[in-house]
Amino acid sequence: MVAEMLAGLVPGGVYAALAVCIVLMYQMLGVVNFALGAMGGLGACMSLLFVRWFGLGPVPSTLAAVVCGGIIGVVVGLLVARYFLEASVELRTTVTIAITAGLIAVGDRILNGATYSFPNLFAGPSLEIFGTGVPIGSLVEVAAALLLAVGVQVFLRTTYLGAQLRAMSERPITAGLLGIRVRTLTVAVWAFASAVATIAVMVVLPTSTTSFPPLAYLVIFALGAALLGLLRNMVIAAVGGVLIGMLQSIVQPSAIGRYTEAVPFAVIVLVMVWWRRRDVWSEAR
Amino acid sequence: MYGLKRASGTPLAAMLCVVIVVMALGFVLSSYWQYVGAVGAAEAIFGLSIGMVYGQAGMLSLCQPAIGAIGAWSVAYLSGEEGWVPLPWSLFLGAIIAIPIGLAAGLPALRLRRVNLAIVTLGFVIVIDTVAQAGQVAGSQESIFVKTPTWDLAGYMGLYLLCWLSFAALAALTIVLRRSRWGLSWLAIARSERAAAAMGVSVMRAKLTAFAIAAFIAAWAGGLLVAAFGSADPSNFDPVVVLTLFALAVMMGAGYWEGALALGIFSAVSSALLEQWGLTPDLGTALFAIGAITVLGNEDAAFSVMIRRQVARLTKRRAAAGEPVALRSFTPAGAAATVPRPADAGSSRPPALAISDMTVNFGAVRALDDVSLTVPCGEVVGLVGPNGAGKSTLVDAATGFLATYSGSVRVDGAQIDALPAAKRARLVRRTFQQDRTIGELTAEDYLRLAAAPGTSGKRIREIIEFVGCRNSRTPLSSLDVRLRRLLMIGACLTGAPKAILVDEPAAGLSVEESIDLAARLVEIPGRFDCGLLVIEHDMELVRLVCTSLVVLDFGKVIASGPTAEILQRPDVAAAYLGDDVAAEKELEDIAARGARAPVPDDKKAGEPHGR
Amino acid sequence: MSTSNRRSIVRRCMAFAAAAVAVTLAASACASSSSDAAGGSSGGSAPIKVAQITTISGGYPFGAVVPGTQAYFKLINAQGGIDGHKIQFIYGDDKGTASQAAELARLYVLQDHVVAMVGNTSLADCNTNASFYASNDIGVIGGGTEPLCFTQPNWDPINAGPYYGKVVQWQYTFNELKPTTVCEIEQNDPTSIPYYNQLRTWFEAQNPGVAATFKEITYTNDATQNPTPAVAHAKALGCDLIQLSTVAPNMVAFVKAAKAVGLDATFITLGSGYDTSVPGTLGALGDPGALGPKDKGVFVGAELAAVNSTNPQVQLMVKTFKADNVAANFWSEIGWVSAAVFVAALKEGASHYNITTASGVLKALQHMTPYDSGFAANPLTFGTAKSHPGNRGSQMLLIKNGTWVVAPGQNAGDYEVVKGLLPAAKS
Repeated sequence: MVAEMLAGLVPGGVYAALAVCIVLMYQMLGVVNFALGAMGGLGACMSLLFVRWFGLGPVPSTLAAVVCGGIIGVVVGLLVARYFLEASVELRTTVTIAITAGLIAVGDRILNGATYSFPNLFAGPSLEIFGTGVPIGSLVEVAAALLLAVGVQVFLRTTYLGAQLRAMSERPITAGLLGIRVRTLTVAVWAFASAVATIAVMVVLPTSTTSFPPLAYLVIFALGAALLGLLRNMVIAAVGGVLIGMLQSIVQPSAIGRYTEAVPFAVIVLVMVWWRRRDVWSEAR
Repeated sequence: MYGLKRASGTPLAAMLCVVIVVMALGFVLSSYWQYVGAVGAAEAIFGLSIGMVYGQAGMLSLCQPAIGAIGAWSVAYLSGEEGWVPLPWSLFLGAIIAIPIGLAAGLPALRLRRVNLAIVTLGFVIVIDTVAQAGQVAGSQESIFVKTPTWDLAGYMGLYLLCWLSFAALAALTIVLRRSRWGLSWLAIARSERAAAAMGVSVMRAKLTAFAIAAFIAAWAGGLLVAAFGSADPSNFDPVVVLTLFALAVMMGAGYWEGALALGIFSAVSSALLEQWGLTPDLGTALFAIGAITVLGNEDAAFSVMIRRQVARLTKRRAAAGEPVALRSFTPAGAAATVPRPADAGSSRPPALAISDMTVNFGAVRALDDVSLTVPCGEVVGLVGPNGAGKSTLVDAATGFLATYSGSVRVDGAQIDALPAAKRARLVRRTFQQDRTIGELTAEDYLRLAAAPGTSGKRIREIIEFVGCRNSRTPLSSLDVRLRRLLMIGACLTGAPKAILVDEPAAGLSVEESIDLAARLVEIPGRFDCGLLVIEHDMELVRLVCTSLVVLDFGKVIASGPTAEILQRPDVAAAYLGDDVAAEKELEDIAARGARAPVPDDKKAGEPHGR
Repeated sequence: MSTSNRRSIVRRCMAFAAAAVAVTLAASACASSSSDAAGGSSGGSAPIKVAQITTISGGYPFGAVVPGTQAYFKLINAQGGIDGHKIQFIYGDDKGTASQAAELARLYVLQDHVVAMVGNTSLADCNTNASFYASNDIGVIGGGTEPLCFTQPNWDPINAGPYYGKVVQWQYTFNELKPTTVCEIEQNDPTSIPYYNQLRTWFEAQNPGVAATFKEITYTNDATQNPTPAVAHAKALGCDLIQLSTVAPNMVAFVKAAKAVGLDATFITLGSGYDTSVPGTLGALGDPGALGPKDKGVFVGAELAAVNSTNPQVQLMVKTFKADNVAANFWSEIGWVSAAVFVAALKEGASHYNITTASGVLKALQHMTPYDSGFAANPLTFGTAKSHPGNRGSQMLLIKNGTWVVAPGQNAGDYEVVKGLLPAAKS
């Protein structure tokens, strides 16, 4: 049991990092970014191309992949900022769903079933905890996700840029009239989240996956975690991500292992229905 | 049902024509294209299902095609090698079996909306996919084979006909439903759940019926696919497939039958063409994703909407705006004297509306404090007071839109506190300050939806005429604010309630328009045998229309009585205008009466007011 | 861009797309009727049209099958074809979905009038198209990816498949590797669980003492694809040999996860785990002892001979692949060998049957004499049985010094075979 829980830190770290980004994007941009997993995954897979085509080492190809992840975020962010800035939350979210489908089509081209040597910056010894080795990279990722959650919240509260972001999130039009560069900030948040997602996926990529879609579906687990924080609290989202990773890890080898994917769904449904139980009407007043 | 046949006739005929042509086309197609066409029909049926839940009822549910899985599995079980049910019947049974699943899938929609609902239904899709992959259900174990029906025709013609006949039948169902009360209620809840409930539409019933019928349709499509493939396979309900279908449905505007048809043909033909040209199917997915995003940015780009516009332009079916109805005027003597009073006015009839000791707290804020008011049948009572006094809160509480309040509400003597909003709408109706009409509906449809069961078409037309609308066939979105306001009131009238609460009907109207409104309002209690409560800021209108007034300030009733008397009272003016001005008014009154009165020390005439 | 501008552009695009579709539709419908005429004639120069449905996209490695088949047919055509008939080969990607597989099958059989399917390696084909092939007299030779491929009258897999592969794996494990505790991590199609259990019971009955060492069998869903929890669990159970049944990249992930978690065990995988890139990717991790003292190495039961085998037929394939720039791996081998078996059958049957028609080809396949391909543990054939588990062995391979080598101690020289047939599935 303990072994599985510790093993759960590996996926848990990814979920935590992605969950923080989901909450950030929801709060700042009013969108539930379903495409986050696919964006991060695609950026991460770029590292493979850099190794293959240019023979780059692990560090440069990782950096290049993160930059690519950022660029993907910029492209999507420009699309959203240009056409959907004044649209409703669900419209933007539906757009991200459509984008996910498109990105999976691209990702499938890159990951086509052979074995790959993904650059593994975090390869290194594992820490032996209670008889189970936990990869250093995953521990770093969990810690980083928590730090990210705290750091972003502090950033938003204390810096001028953070204030601008908060203003933009509440009243984009008014903020624009005040001279805040809404479009630039929107794209910046997209790029940031995408880059973080790329890093998050890269940590776990070397030891997982043969195909692209599971990377894209990581976002579902992360969403479950984000919902635990009611899409508001990043720290709870990060902790939730780790917990969901552990839960998944306990369920997977067990008799109901085949239904592991249903775990985040169960979390999501329970949280959503409880959270929104008083929403009798669609409009506030 | 009034108007149903005539209203549905044209799209029904158009659809049948198109489908008959398509079916005839099957005879000249090669075997392979017949197969493609049959699969296309099944996809089109999926489109109908998505269109019903999302296109019409506005619920962002992604799991319709996954529910199709239920139908698929049922058909595999029932019509497989060991099965005992011949194919067309197993389709029907599978569809019936899916109905409770559809209802279950619809339950989260009662509290979750938009993004939240999308998330949950997507999760539902993944669960169905997980369960299917885990092989726990029929068809994937021991590969149950289903014999594709041939109906003794060559090639795949039998399957082709079965699929297109199914489409025709189910599309006809959706066309008829669209114009029925159910369909209208779906359009209503898509627009505004509160407004729908205020019209007597049970939001829960509307949502669940949409899900249930959509599940029936989706399961039928799933079953057809099994018949086409010859076996049930879980890969059809992979989340990517489901999302692609949804994207297509949005792009084509599958809420209308032609959108669903376009979806089916487009999806089947494009994948067939991609195969023929040796291109990867991923290209299709990418294209659909782009198309969906385009449409999401611009709803008018949906295929079916474009088609409808073109057709309307070609046939000039759009009703002409028509001559505007002349505005009515008001005799200066005031209407109260001229309006016919109902015969039993002033008798011992219970009041149309009686609110007693109503108190509402929003946390620490007391929005209403022990408020009581009465609206006798056959009279118009005004409810006035400054902004934030609690007037709309009172209406919300009385009509069932507030969860908790203390006190009681009686309509025509009967206590209604235990009833939910939609049930209260049988007795008491309300309008909203905001425009909550349903833009896509015509005036006729709108009133028909709001009408009490059994209301005749003649009655509806009467009411439309009463509110002064001539364009009963134009969508409400093309009418001006004034007419929409009046039609909101008209919708209340069709419900034949005992009491009607009208919330700031004159907001934004010009003087002439206000007078016209007043002229109509004043006739309502007598003509429709009810009591009318009017919330207004426009004192002219209040003076013309209301026989008595209730004044609310900070949640308390500070005055109540005949209109003229109340309007004179200084404390009423003070509530609206502030103390100093009230004092000045008092001085003016005194001066006008010519009496000498002591001048307060701190306010000598001519001195500026201290602040 | 203003709304009306955008709207008109969208409208124009839609109109153009609709017109393009209509034109192509008309062209295809007409084309189909003309190809009707071309298909029927026999005679010296009529081509033999064959097709292949393979799951190419979706992130699976089967795409390499296509060039393998193409290379072999190109070789044969260069030599004059079969009895003077050249082979025409088309292929399609079904993306692993039933709808695509069904459509492609009907396209090729009904529209393009192919006479057989060669090299099909798909996740959906066996299940979806079985009855279609049977009712249209189409024979299929290909790579079986699911248990269902091994139980169809018209489907002949040239690989050993999961059942024979599994029994081979057990044989080698208990006769040669002799572990203390075995953890089996199944990632196969879970619908085959009942039959696997039946086989295990049968195997245990034939090999007393084996039951004690089977510690745990867990089934995980391929889609989650995170091996860490499973290996941590295995470590907790004290297993020193892990049996897998997954594709190569996943196997690599398992080994890496084992290193990270500290699991000291031998790894052995079914033939789906064989890929020439694995030793390079694993590096030192692949060598015996890399995970610990109990680690005897990373083994795979390759269902066809390794590409560095000295058999002349294998070498011919490697040479041809090099000239055609085709990567040599398990999947391209499947493509090549499928084609080889097909051509062998037709060459033999050309004098008795009309090999330009589907039914003629099917008869040739059904009556062929077993063909020694040089790639398999036993000669391969089609036959008239209800099902065709032709290949009953695997070549056990081991990673040593960065490459696959033939593992020692196999019961049939370079191969480990199951002597006799497996019991039939109890329904």
